[in-house]
Amino acid sequence: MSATTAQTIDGEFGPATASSARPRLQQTTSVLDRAGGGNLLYVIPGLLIYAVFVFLPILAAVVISLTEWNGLVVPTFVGLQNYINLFSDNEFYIALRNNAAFIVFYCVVPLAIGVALAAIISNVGNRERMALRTLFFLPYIMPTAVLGIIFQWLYNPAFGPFNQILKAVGLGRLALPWLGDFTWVLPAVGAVAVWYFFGFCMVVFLSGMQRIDPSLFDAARADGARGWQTFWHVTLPQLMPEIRVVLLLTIIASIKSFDLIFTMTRGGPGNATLVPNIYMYELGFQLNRYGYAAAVAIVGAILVFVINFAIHQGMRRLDRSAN
Amino acid sequence: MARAGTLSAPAIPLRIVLWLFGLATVVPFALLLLTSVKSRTDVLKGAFALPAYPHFENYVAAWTDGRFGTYFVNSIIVVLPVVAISIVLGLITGFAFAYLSFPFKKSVFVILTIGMMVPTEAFIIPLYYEMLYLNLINTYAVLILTQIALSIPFATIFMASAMRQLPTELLEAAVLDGATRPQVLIRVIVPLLAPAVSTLALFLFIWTWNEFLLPLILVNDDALRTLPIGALFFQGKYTINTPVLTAGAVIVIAPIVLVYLIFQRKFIEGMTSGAVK
Amino acid sequence: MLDVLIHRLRTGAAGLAVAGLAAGLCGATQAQTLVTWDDYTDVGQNAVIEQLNKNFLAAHPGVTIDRTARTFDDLSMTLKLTVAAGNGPQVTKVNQGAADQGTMVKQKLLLPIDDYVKQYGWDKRLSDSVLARMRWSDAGQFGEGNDYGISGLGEMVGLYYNQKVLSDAGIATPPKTFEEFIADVDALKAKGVPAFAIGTAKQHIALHMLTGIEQAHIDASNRKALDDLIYGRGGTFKTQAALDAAKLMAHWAKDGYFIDGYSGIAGNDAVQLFVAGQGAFLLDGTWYFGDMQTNPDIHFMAIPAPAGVSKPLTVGGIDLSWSITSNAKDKATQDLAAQYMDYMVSPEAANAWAAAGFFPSTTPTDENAVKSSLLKEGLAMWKVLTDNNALGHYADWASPTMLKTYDDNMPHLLAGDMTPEAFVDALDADYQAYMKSIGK
Repeated sequence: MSATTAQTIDGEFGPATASSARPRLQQTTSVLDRAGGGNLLYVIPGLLIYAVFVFLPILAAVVISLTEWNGLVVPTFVGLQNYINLFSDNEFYIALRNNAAFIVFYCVVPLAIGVALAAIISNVGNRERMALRTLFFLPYIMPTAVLGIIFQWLYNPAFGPFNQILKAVGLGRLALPWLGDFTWVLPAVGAVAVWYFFGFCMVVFLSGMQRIDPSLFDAARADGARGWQTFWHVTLPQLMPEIRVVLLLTIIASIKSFDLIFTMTRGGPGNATLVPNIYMYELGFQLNRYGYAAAVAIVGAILVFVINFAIHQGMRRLDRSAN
Repeated sequence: MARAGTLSAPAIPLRIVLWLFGLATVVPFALLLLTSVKSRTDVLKGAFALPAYPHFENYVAAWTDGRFGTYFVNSIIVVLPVVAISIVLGLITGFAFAYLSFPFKKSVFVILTIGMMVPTEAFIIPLYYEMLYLNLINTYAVLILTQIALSIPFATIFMASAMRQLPTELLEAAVLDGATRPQVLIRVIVPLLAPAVSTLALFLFIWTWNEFLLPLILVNDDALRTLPIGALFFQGKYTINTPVLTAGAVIVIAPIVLVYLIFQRKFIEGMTSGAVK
Repeated sequence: MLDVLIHRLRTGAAGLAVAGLAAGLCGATQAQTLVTWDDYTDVGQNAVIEQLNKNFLAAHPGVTIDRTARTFDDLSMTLKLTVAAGNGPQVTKVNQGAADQGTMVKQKLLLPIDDYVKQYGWDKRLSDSVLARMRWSDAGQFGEGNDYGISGLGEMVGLYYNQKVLSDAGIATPPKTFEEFIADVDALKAKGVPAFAIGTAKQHIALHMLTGIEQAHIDASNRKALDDLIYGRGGTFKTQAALDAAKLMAHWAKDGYFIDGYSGIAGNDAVQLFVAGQGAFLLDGTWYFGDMQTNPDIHFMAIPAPAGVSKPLTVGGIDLSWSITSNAKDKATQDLAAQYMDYMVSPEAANAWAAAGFFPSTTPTDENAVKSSLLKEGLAMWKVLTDNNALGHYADWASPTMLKTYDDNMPHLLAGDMTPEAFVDALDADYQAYMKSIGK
């Protein structure tokens, strides 16, 4: 991991720090800070557990990615060969391309819907707002493996409700075999991701809005701004920290996506919904190529860092141009 | 508390849009419930067709054949300590990241975020061998410890960023009053962070309850399995009993919906009280 | 609600302590405990295995069985890993073929059972062609060498037909030859009746259909090439029978012989639709008997053979193999494991499976136990196959990656964006790469 990655992550740390709205957050030292080793007492317990049960196995995975290993016998060291092979692996490129398409459904669409809904919902009555928010957030608490089972049935062309409704309203031509259609399977699975994430985005944005100083809205109104303009000039810029957090979390979720796609399509038909994680699963647990599978995982993790860095840079530029 | 004073209430069409979205989140679950009381032939008659009578025997089959009673208790035994301990550790480590300086702070932070980005599938095999070496395979401890470890990065970052948003004047005042750092954390910061902590608890509860891969690999004793594994119990190699499968799915999600609804009230109270300030 | 949860937690914790204590005691006294894994998670199968286990325990006082059921996918994912780490079952179900059983044999994670085969006479209960599917030589050659497993349930891929749908379309009797079968299928199509219930979104109906038709074109007297191919002795997937079957499938898929939306329907759901009266034919295995028997119009027969083939092969074999793992360290445990396996292929077990509508690999002694007419048809067919030595093979056993290669390419063949020639080429490329990797 390079210094740039470190910077990226550090910028990510504490969503509000990068926002220039609150100068007092820019401070570097706190009254609570002390010199000496006492500070470490706060860091070590959590870090130790994390190191033993997560970080060490991750390091081991990095080592495994430099070997050929069937999961049973002693691995053979092959250097960077797995990574070299990856660059000429057509299936891996297909998986990457699919994942890029999934990012639209995991991140962009839910984010847009979430912001819009949050803007509307923050103005309805208290009880109605609570009821709606409870509903919107509901998908997010569900086990994705179970959701896969439900949606597979919803999409069923023979007796599933989607096509039943389409046929009932005279749109029988649109009643496609969703999860078996090469063109439509990705949007169909993506729609489930939208359904899963939009409420989560909305809740994060709503709590972000409650943090916005009401006087900003009053000032905007005094300037004669209408609802839409207020949203554009006050709400959206103020929500930048939340937008960044949501983007980060949903992009990570999209690259880590496994359960939903696995239970609905297993990456099929053909490779139409294959993503790196499913590919990794097939390589590891079905074909016993653990070394190569680990290389896929490592490249996926590096990708998360790169995209994360891009978001951070983009946001910073936005912040700057806004000021 | 309400935002009524800031903007005008939305027009009726917008409210309809809101409720349509609300409906869209519930309809799949309503259909799931309906399917769980159908017979296997009813399923083929279409999603909206009602069964002649409710087939509650699907639930009996799921409960007895799927051993959901055991799995339910196991899920609770694992989830509660994971949530509680992760929050405590998240508060302590988050405190360090928010206010304290220590060597390699940036590097340690990068190392933590790596854990959030690398999928569990990527390191489950080395993890398995390590747990075997530590003699932890087939224990509740392995499920609890690994999931605490997986929760630490998010809990830490979430708590640290929430702490950074607290007014420093309060902390300064507490220090001037002679409070020690643990006292500041427990008496000043934790009460102020109550809404954030309940949000974190909700997230951790959901993630841990739904975790599939870790219990699948690290435990191979039926007596230690958790609910999500049980949910797949009815999918044989070639046979599938959709109504019983959906009844099993309902049993898995019913507790989480219930806990969510209970938790949700506190969650909302926390958020609104935060908004008043 | 919270009170309830806390109560549960307390009782759970107490239970945990008791369980820990019990485990400690068991470990100390070295009681005969047999750790078993199986894949009988389906409700019906689960009931049978639980009953069989109970019977076994009653006959073996002092023995306890520690059973874990895993779905097929879970089993293949966790079994190798667990046993390699010295954990998990002493007796287990394991998938035959190179990917699972072959790998485990190579790593010495399974024990040869030749002595027990002789001792219990398992070679008299199961045909040699069946036992060969669980044989591996020390050099890693599939299909010969030591025995590593036996199996209690048989499997055949055949032709299910719905007599009512056929009669409604003016077809009085099921087809006797492959030519008649093609004519019937075309007649159904002309009448606007979907000929085949099939779903390709999950499970492997298309694979079984294609290979079933392919192998019905091979006479048992010419089976050596297929045996060599599957047992990894070399050969080719580019045969005329394979190409013809692929062409036929592509034609049927493209020209509307399949039920609507088949590509978005899972195989299991297609079976439910077939049972509900959609489609005249469904080609797949005996494992669907339990579902199929709820519709009395549905019958089961061998896929009809073309003229000139008198003893056609039928794709099939046995369900996952019962094997003894390296965790059975001492002779006493191994003997107990063998006793357990012996009971699993006993006539008593066969009767229990048959009574529940499942298809035992050994003939049930109790004729009355067989209530399902489908099962009777299947058992008669199994007898013919055994007499003719005409039990074919699952083509996906040919290489560790073959199932994936079929799964990846089949949707393209059926969608028409891959020619049958390219399809067969893709299968052969996979196979030849595997041959090269094992030095053939």
